[in-house]
Amino acid sequence: MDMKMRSKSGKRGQVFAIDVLFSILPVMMILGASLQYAYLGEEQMKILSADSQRQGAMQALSEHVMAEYRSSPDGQPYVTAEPDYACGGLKDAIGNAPGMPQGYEYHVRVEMPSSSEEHICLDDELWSHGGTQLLDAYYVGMESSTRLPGASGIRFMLEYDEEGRPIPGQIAGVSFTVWDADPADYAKT
Amino acid sequence: MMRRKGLVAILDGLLAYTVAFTAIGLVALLSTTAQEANLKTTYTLNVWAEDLADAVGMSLTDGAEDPTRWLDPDSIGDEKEAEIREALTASLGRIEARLGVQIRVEAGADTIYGDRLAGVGESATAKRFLVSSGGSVSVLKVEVGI
Repeated sequence: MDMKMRSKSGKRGQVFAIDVLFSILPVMMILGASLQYAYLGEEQMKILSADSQRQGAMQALSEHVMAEYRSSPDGQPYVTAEPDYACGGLKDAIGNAPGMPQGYEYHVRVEMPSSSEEHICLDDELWSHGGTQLLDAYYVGMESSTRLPGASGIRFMLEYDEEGRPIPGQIAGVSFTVWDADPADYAKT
Repeated sequence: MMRRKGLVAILDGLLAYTVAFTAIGLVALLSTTAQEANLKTTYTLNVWAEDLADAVGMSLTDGAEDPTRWLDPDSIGDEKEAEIREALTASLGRIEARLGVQIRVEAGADTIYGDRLAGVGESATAKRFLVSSGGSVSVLKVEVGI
């Protein structure tokens, strides 16, 4: 079937043949799908980039704390079941962390201790840095943070006794978690 | 007629190019995503192996002397060594159960914890030197697999 028009002078001319239209159709469909795919790829890259930044922030804090721990084996106890010492070494190391990226909440928690308590050092307290506050601020509870995407990692260190010395064989885990700061909390600070 | 055949041929070529471009892009994206996941796993296992090697190495010391110097287990004494091994076994067992990994620790020819890693897809190894009070050196090896 031909699609023909008549010009003003009455001559017939061809506009498009149906087979050409059929040939164009799959090309247009694939071009459309490719554009969608490129858009989805861009969105995926944004997510990967944000995840990578959170991982970087978490690794920065954990590396700093581990470096402080390794350089002061006889300093203040880092992880200890002695409540009087309250993991002073760990808190100091977090508080000393220089230039942590803004816009994140940082949480540190002791896990897998040799003590029978699930959480040691300060019961359920977590050390955290929210918004623009200093790293020695405290938050209790994790409910608000679990709604947002985060990055976490675990490092291992020996537990300390009441004299500030490592206890051989007693290894605890310290988890570091970074979330995007809740904009509502951010606005309050 | 000839012009129309030429136009259809051009469109066919464009179709083939677009299909090839999309397919290559999909394959590249999928392989990059898989590589990134493997890299993250390998990095994490390496970090854990290094931390555990430090902790186990520091455990094999006589704390009254110098906690930063790793000593050969023979110089600690049988009773103290048994205490340390028991504490290490409990700690490493807890870590294995919680994280779903396999851990093996060897000091020289002696196996301190775990069996040969079996059925693991990825693993990492960290090594430290253990120096005895007499100056002999043995190797502490920590393997973590998942």
